Amino acid sequence: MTDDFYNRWLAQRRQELPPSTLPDEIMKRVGELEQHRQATRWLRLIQRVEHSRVSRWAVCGGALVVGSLPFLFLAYVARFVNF
Amino acid sequence: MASMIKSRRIPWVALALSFLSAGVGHIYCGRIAKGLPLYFAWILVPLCVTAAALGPPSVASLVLLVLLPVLSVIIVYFYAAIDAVRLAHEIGSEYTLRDYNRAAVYWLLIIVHIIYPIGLIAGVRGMVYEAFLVPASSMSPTILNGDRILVRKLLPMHYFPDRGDLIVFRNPEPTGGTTFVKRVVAVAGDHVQMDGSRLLINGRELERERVPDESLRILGEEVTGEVSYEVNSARRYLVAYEDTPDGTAADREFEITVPERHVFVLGDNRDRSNDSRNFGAIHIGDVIGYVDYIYWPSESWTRFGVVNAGD
Repeated sequence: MTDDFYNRWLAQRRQELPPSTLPDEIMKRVGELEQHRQATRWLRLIQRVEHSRVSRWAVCGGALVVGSLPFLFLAYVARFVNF
Repeated sequence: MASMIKSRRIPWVALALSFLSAGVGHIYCGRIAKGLPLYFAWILVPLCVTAAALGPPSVASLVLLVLLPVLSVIIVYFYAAIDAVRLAHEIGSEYTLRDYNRAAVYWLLIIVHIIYPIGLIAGVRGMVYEAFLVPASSMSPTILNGDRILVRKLLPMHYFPDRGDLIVFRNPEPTGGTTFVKRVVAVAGDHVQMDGSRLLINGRELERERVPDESLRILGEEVTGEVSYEVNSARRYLVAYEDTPDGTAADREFEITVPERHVFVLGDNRDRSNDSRNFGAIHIGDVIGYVDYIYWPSESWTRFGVVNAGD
């Protein structure tokens, strides 16, 4: 009895045409999934860094070094450093 | 469209982003209106420096339009970092993510921010002002060994060096330094004659007025020899003679008529200078720019400021 009910439901579904926006919907979902994966990756990295004080200092120190590059170039142009 | 996802703003992430690029820490905390002006603060430097180069040189221009904007971007950089950490603490976990709160946006902003200030500085150096460190005392007492000078490259069209101008030019000889700083004493068509310590331009001896030795201390310890004010076409500047510690003085007997599109240059320290007496007149195409300022004097800060003034 259950099988009959299921077969009828299946036949009915197979007769129905999918909406025209279905491929777009699927692609959007795939894109969102990829975005979530990336966000999770960043989140895991941040969590790992947050657990260690040394890592936090290292990240901020590295950021300071990279962010200071324009100032280093300015000092070079102003003839205060030579390389 | 803004999402409704709640997220925590982590202070050390805000600090790291701000260190990488001023303003990005604020964008991370959702304060884009405050973050973008901080992000573009570097634009202030070329705008102000170009404004300084367009006007006549003055100490006010040097301080307000050259040194202050440079100092401002350094202050903005650290202010942005401190403020981003404060903001992140303040917001805590009650933050609704915005569309621009994405790693790709942060990375793009950071990469652009590392490149564009370097481009702006290189542009200013190439076209507006270039800094030089003077490694010799051939221009003493005007420019001493170790002085840092600013050379203006932004000049009106068809502007030629005039008598009394301080110029930086490419070395016409294959040996020695790549650039020299000297004073223009004669222009195209002038007849230059040196007879001992007398300098004659078109048959007229340039007037000199001796500076008392006790007044020399204000110019710095390096200034030695016999220092005088020399007047050349209404320009008054300091020159030194008899400054020959190793006993070898530059050529004192000299005569030349300056060719077309050339200028004749001499060091202000007349007895210790390698100048047009050795390598001839300079083609104006070799002129790099005009010395406007000493922005970092080697010893006495009394010499800070304008060096190429009209009087």
